Amino acid sequence: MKAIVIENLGKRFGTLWAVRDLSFHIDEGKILGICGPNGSGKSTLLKILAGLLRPTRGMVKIYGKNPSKHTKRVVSYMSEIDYLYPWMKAGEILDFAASFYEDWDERKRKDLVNFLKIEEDKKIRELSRGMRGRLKIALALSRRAKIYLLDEPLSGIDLSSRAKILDALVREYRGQEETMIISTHLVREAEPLFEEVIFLKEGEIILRGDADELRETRGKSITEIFLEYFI
Amino acid sequence: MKILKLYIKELKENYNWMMFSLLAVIAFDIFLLLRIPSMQKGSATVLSLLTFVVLLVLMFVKGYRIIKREWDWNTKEFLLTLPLNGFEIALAMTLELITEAMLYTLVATGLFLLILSRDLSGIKHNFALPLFLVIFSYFVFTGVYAVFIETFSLTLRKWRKTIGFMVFVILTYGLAKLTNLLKPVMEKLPSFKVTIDYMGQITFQHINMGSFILPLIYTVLLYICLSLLIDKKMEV
Amino acid sequence: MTLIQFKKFDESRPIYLQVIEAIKKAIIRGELKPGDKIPSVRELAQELRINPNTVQKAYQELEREGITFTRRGQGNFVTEDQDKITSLKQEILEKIVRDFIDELSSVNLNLEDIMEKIKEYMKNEGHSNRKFR
Repeated sequence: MKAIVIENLGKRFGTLWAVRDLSFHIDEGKILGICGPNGSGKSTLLKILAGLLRPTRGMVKIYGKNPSKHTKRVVSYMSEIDYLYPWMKAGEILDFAASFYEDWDERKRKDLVNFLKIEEDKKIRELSRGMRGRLKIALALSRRAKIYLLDEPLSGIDLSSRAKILDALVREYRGQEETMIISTHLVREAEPLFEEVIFLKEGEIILRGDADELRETRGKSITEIFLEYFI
Repeated sequence: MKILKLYIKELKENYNWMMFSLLAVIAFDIFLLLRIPSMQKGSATVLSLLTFVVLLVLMFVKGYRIIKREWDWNTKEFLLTLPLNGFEIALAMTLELITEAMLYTLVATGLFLLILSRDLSGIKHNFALPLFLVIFSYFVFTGVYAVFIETFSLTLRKWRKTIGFMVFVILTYGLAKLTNLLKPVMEKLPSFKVTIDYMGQITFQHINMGSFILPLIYTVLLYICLSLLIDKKMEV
Repeated sequence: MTLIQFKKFDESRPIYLQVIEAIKKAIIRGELKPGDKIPSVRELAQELRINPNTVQKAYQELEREGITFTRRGQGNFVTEDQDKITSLKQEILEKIVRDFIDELSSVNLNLEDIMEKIKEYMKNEGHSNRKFR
């Protein structure tokens, strides 16, 4: 079952093509890593899948449908930037999100808040960077969504928070029922999670493959292969 | 219900501003009323008008801020990934504006009646309702108008302020012209008959229903355009 | 159950193969006895911080080789078939020897010297109490 199908996807901002002619598909149940430097089009791609941007050309299908209000029901998106209401308390934003999604799982929420040590009574603008990052993850993972789109979940966050986030991702993984796309330039820490990887450079796919297969055929870690392409 | 939740969130977000601006206006009016105990004829009307304009401007700023804040805080990325279409998002915002407009109108009507009671020795009850409706419709329209203009300029990639301002001017002018054109049609609608006792002189005024129905019609049209903008053109 | 001797796995080799090797080594070392339950997919994935599907793939391979079997609803268990375990030991031994010899070929000594070195090392390092028959 193809969770995501992308054909000849292109997105232009003014004269700049952030993403040009991407084609690939993702099967249900996979964890895909999209690796590339800043500006390679990772965020743009994720935003298109999340329904925040419209393609300039090409086709995007999520379970056979174009991104819309209906796909948003089953897609959980986590942005790279701070995008939560600063005046809300951590617990408040979780309650708020809960009311919009049928697949919200309160048990998961409690579990994650505990595990990630999130202080629900604090206002979001008062949280440290690390805790904001952990809150974003808790927000994204407290649902039984079909597709998770995580844009740089590890960036700009302290080491122990990163470890916790990776732990949470593995913990909450529901197998065949969920597909996850993680975009990152911190390949080293995240690579053990990836089943498949895509390398993106200037809006184009320069490598795609099964993670273990790449390790086998090239005798290198994904990080090493990444550095080869991008140094 | 989702729209309700979003509406409540908008209320919470704007609570402080709403209270503050209302208290400021009330304080301002009471201050003036006290400072100028013996009002000249007509100056009460000027004060009322001034209050009305101030509140109108505040409504406009309010509408503008609702949208601008989503952009400044980047919360638009959160809002637009919620499973809502443009009509639902616009409705939540409009309902919030309506709530605020209602409060503003209550305060304004109260203040006007208070101020005008200096000049008008006998206020007939039938004055309050049409006054309320007209003021309310203007406030709602202004708020939604501001939201629309700001949302529109944010869908532009370049020269947002310039084009936004131009559109504002052109559209306002257009709406004024349209209102003029529709005057004969509006006059066919029933009117409120208001009795005013002005310093002993009894006069009859007719306040046409069109003066609040038309702004409300414009508001609905703007709401539809706003919804379509969010659905089709909004990008983050 | 921190039986898996993963100080750190090597990211330049397929991870699922390393999971398979680690389980096999644990069996040979006796840390996992015949009939013992091995960690669940989820447990192991969490401990190692790797993709659960990778662990699943490794477990499927182990089952295919007959090293482990699944008991419905209870998890994965080490086989009780002694022959299997013996041939597993052989297999691992072969691999160790192969890698060992490959490395030694860079040192360029003859066989007697190598054997002497081994005996010497064993005596000095007090490994005589180890189970070498």
